[in-house]
Amino acid sequence: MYLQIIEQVRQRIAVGDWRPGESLPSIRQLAADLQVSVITVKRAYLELERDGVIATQQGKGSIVAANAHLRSRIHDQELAAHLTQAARIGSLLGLSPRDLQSRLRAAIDQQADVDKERT
Amino acid sequence: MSEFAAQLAGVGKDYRFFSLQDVSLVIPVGQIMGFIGPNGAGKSTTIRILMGLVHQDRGEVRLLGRQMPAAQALAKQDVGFASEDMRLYDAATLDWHMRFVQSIYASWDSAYAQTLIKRFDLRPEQRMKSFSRGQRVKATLLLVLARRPKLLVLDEPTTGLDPVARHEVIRELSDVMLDDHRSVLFSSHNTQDVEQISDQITFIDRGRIIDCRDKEAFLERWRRIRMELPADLALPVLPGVVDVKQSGRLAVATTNAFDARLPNAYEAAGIRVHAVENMTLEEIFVTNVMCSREEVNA
Amino acid sequence: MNAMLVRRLIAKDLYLHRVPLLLIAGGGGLSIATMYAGGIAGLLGTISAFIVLIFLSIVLPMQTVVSERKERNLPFVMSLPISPADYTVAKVAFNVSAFVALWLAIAAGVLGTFSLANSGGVIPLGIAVALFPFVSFCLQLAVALIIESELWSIVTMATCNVSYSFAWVLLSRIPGIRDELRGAVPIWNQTVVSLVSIEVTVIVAALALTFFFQSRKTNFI
Repeated sequence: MYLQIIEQVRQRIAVGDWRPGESLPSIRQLAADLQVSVITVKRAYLELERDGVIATQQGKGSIVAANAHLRSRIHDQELAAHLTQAARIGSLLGLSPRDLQSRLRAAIDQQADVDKERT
Repeated sequence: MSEFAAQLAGVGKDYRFFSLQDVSLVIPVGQIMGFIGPNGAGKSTTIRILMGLVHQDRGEVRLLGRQMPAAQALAKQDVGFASEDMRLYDAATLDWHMRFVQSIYASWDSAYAQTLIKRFDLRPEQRMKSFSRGQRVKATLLLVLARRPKLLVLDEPTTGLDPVARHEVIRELSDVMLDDHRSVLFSSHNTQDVEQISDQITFIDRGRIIDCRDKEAFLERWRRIRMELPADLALPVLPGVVDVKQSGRLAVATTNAFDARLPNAYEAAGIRVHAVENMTLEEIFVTNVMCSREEVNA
Repeated sequence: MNAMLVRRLIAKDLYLHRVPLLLIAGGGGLSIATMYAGGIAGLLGTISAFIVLIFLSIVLPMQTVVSERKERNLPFVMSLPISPADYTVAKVAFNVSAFVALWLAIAAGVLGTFSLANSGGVIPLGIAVALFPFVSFCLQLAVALIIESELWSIVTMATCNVSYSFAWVLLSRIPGIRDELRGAVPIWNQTVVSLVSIEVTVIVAALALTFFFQSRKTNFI
């Protein structure tokens, strides 16, 4: 569950809802809003801080880290996570590296088609 | 007064066919504690002892820093109690109950009470006799929530509620968290609710506390490891593994002290690890109870 | 002891049980009024007033103590900021006040009527008899609070009811009582005085024992 919270915070930042320097909701406020326990939000915030996504000031709450490359950094972290996941699942399914690569190729091509339609 | 909303130390109570043994529990201020146990485990007894409704045979009980049962009248000023086996007066209306409670507690918040009436969809002019079961539960909770007590002690607050009502109750309990001076103890069969909003979780079985730690620690320490053994290889016994189920070449090991090295240790022994899975609180609870019962029987 | 809370508890009981109490008051008034018709109506009115008092002695403990437990209202009451002693005081205070108020009114009404009809000789025995339901009430209240069992409350009630008949029989066999009844003036002989003293002692003892045993309880629910 705390992973979902981390995900949500990352996305809000990536999309630009929460800008660098802006305050995040307090741990208790977010817990109440999401109806999850305080300890779960605490854990999520701790990990976000460890990853440098947010910074916590003693007694003042947390703010989005002022990092110019934050967006791309977040996306980069996202990509890394997804690739690790893909490799793991591929292995569970018993796919060979080649099979996995062709699947990735297919996905890239599909995205290219979508991008073409948008423009 | 104290940094704990409630403390039980070495509490024991003997009945003819059941005994509460050496129950020790603390609820830090500003936290929500979920209390899970099978039927007859002693949840209600523990809660009654905490509220001074039953006197313990052994051990010390402090409610909001005050000794129980001696100082119960004072302690209960700031404690809201609702239990599943509690009923309001059939012949009186909800409105009468609200005015009665208001006349006793200075902390009654009329505006919030009205908000809850709307949210819980209740009719104050109706007699309790004609309330459905779910409405009764909500009415009882309303009387307790509208006072904004420092500690809420709830015995099965969501039992018997439809999903919508449960959601509303969870929402109100979540709002209690906004104030870091307020605390909640709630017992429940519904491990989902407990998993969602508890900070601390306590498991009780057969009159004993079998585990008590913060929720994230529970979720992090327990794992299921699914494996495939090569033919003729026996599963090595590794530390921290509390349960193993094997059918043919497939095995599932359950551990309560998960460490990344554990699946590696299996792999090193030539076993193929298919998956390392998180467990839901319910699965953790059931496994925990089974293991502790085996230990006692052994 | 928390006086404000005890007052609220008493007020709560008064509100919740106002209907039976009003009905009993009405029944008592009607009985007394019936007596004024004279003759056989006088006897009927007296008996009916006695029956009303018996009802009162049953209804009060049953409704305020036994029902509260049976209907599972007790945890709600005990969740209030009170001690078990506060609860006992509030229950006994309400029960005894309600009972005494109605009992005094009805007994005084009946005996006063006799007095007006120049049958004041009845009064000493009348008081002794009127105390029967009082004694029965205190015993039922004590059993209801201490033993907490609907079954035992019913047993107590039944036993008291049956005892009334025996009490009548015993009374009529005591020498010296009959003669004084016909007079216009109340005469207090030794027998009646002893009888009344015993009854009052039982009443006080029952109430005292109630408080004593309640204070020693370790399971309040």
